[in-house]
Amino acid sequence: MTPPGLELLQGTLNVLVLRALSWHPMHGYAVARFIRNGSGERFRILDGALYTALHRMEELGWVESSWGQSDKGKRAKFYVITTAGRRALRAETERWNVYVTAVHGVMRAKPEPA
Amino acid sequence: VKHPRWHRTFRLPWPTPERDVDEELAFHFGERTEALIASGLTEAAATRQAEAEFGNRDSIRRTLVEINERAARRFRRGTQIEQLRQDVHLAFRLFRRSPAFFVAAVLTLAIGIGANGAVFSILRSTLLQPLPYRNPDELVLLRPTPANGVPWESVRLAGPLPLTAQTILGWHRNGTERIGEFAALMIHNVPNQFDLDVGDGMTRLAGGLVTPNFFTLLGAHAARGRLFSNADEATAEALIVLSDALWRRDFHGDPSIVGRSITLAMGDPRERRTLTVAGILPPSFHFTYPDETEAWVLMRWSDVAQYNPQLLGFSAIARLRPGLPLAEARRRAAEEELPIAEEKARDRSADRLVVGLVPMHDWVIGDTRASLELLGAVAALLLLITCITVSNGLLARVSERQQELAVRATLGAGRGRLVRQLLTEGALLSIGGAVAGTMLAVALQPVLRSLLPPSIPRVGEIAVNGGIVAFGAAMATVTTVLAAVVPAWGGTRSDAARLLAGASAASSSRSALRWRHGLVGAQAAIATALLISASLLLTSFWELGRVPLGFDGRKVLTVELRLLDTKYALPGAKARFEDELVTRVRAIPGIADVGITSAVPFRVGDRLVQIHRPGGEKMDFVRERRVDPGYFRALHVAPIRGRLLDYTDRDVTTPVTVISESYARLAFGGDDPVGQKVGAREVVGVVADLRYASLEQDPTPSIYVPEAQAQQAGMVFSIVARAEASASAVSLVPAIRRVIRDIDPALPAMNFTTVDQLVDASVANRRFYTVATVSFATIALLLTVVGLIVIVARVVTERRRELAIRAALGATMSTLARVATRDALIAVGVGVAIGVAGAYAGSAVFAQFLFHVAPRSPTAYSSVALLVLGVATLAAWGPIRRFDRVSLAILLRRE
Repeated sequence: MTPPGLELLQGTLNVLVLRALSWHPMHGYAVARFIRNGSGERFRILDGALYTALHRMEELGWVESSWGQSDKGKRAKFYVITTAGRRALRAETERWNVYVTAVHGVMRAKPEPA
Repeated sequence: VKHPRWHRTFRLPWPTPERDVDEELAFHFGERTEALIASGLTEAAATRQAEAEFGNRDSIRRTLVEINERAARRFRRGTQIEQLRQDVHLAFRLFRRSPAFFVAAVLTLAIGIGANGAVFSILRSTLLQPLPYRNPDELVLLRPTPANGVPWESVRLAGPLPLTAQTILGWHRNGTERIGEFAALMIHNVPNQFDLDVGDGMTRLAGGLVTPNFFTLLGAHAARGRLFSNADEATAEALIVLSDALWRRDFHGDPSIVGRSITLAMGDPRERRTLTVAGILPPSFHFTYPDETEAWVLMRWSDVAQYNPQLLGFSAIARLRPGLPLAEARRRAAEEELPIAEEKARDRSADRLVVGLVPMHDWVIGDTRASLELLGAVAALLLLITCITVSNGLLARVSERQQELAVRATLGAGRGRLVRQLLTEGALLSIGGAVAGTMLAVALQPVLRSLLPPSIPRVGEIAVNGGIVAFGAAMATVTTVLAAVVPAWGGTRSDAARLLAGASAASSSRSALRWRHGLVGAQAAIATALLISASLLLTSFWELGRVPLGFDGRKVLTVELRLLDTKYALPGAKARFEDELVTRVRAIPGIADVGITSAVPFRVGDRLVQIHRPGGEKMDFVRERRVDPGYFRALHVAPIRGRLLDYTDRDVTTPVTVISESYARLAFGGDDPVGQKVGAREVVGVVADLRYASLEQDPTPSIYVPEAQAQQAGMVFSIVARAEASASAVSLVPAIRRVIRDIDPALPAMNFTTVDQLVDASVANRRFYTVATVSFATIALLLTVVGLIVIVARVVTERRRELAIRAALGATMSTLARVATRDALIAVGVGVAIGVAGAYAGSAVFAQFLFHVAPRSPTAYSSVALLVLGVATLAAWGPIRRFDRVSLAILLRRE
């Protein structure tokens, strides 16, 4: 992703990755492509951070990995979201929505008369 | 994106984290570079951009590898714990399903572990635990030994054979640096029994005189006050150190006694001495086993010089120079490094004497070492047989769980997993057995201690402590391995492999049965070997009971008296005392006969004298015993020839003697000794040989001289008093004690006991290990029988259809029984043969425990073999009897 771009808020990368995997199992490159395309290449995310996030979440039990074949027939490591991962995704999405609503609400509010 | 095909097979085993990460990153860079090239970049630019987009590749790679390694470790641990949890859970479920098996297995192991724990606690305190001194391995006892290397008697009986004052002083003067420091002491003899006035009478203390360096050489420290040191050589104060036991008993544990003076009557003849208490020893201090010395009096080197140089009676211990090997020290000692002064007293041996070095531990343990080791070996065999029993039980359950195991095998449980399951079961049983066994050992310990013969040294150091718990844990490990790994290996090899290959349960269980038959055979082998040992020991014990004592010790009470007071040294004083004593004791109602002797049978104390063989140059060693005429009557000894001693044999009449049968044979051959001369005495009679100290030793030639004619008036003697048939010997003790107190209130009467008890005590050690071996062998036989019954029952169950069909076709019950028990009985037969061979092979070592029975006695071997085979046959028929013809017919119809 081409720097400079938008800095990602803390923890958001996990949500994006889980969201990508919630569609179907993907290898790491496919996740990166999903986020890049989905954001219109506006986020400033290093691919290395993405892999770190994947492996950390695997350690947490949110995703599982196994070796499979890519659509081009190459050996690739695929990640699949686990039940715990879906639960985490739901919770994070909920939090994100509350956050956005709150920020949105403040941005649109007018001061009450003193 | 197309849905990928899953290859779960690559998940396990976990690939190395590094390779995994590298491969993943390589895929990423390949894909990204390709995509960038497709969008119009050059290859070099695409590679650069992909790198830039990624970040610090090396550091991220390291992070990823770390995460993966951590995860892999946790995964491995997690699955292991999970498997263990499953195994334990399953094992408990199985135990709950058949609690009888669980209880039986735990109890069986508890017997084995308990017996071993109890035996271990004895062995630990006696053989294994180092003596309570600093570097005890360096300590040796210096003991005169014939230069030809043949010791006179066993180490224990000989004790610290004495050295003369002259020898001790010689060593002290010339130094013993080439061997190590030495200390001298006088213990275990009459002058070193101290009389202490404790208010309500005199107590006699076991005392010792020691040189100033004795305690520092041992490395002992005082619990209170101080012990002796080399600095005391230059002082003049008389010092004494008390043992913890004495201090608590007679000084009521009063700490202020240190530094105060106490008065003791000591020496021969008695004199009163006032000594200052220098200190109290800690309770852990022991030196003379089994009867601990209670009071240690300082003997300066200058005091040693005051003794008659020829006086025998000193012992010596030494601490070898650090690092000096015992063999080298022995060589140096023998090479006149420790010369023994030429002494008159030594001419009883034709050989030159040298100093032999006996390690302290050997001296303390003495002759009991072999019997303790025997006990350990027997207990270990018992443990082995209990393990085999449990092993067989576990295997039986494997066969019964064919269905379950088959299912698990088809579900992918490999052999390793099944072995682990069995191992878990075995470990749980072993832990249960170890806990129960340790409790059993702890509970048994007081019983065992009371059974232990007092002759076993260091019995007082036997204690329940952490050691026995640690031993229990070690036993649990051993039994797990023996009881579970073996069946797991053998029992599942066939089972798992065949089950995986889809073989029928019946055929796989048959090969497991072969294993189990093998185990029954092994049990039979151990039981046979143990029973042969037990039978030989029992025969020895029985033979020992048949040894003619030469006297009748039943109802004969004995009391030891020591006339050490100076007043008895006056002419005729001792004779007057003895006359009055005998007259008054005889007058006690219930006394049949009373006599006086210098040494009671089975309590050593005879003088060893050398006598010229009549009509020859040769000298014979003979035990000389001073007795009065009442002695023979009290012990029911009748003359074989001539007459016994008589009250008319006085100091003014002809010196006479009665000789023992063996001396008559030695000195006079076939001639009639009566009327002939032995030394200056005329032989008036011959009596049967009386055993001296042990039933196992052949009687030594002995002569009896009248107390009234004794040249050396010994001040130590014993009363032997026979109770009338209607009275009990023990009930006479108070009356005799009263008589003695009436005659001389200051005279301590010691060692009240019956002669019977003395004889009995002499076989206590043998009785202990015989009883232990016989009981362990019996348990072994019982366990073998149980194992046999269980396996035959299994065979009957498995082959019930075949048996039913045979019965329907008209086979007799005995034919059926033969079919069902054949394998088991063959296994037992082979086991018995192996057991017999094993006992035969070990008979050379075992011979030392036997008495008047050949270690390869064909009677013992064949009767035990027949016993085991007979019991096995009877036991094997047990499960068959459950089936009669009718029940077999019903069975056939049902199946």
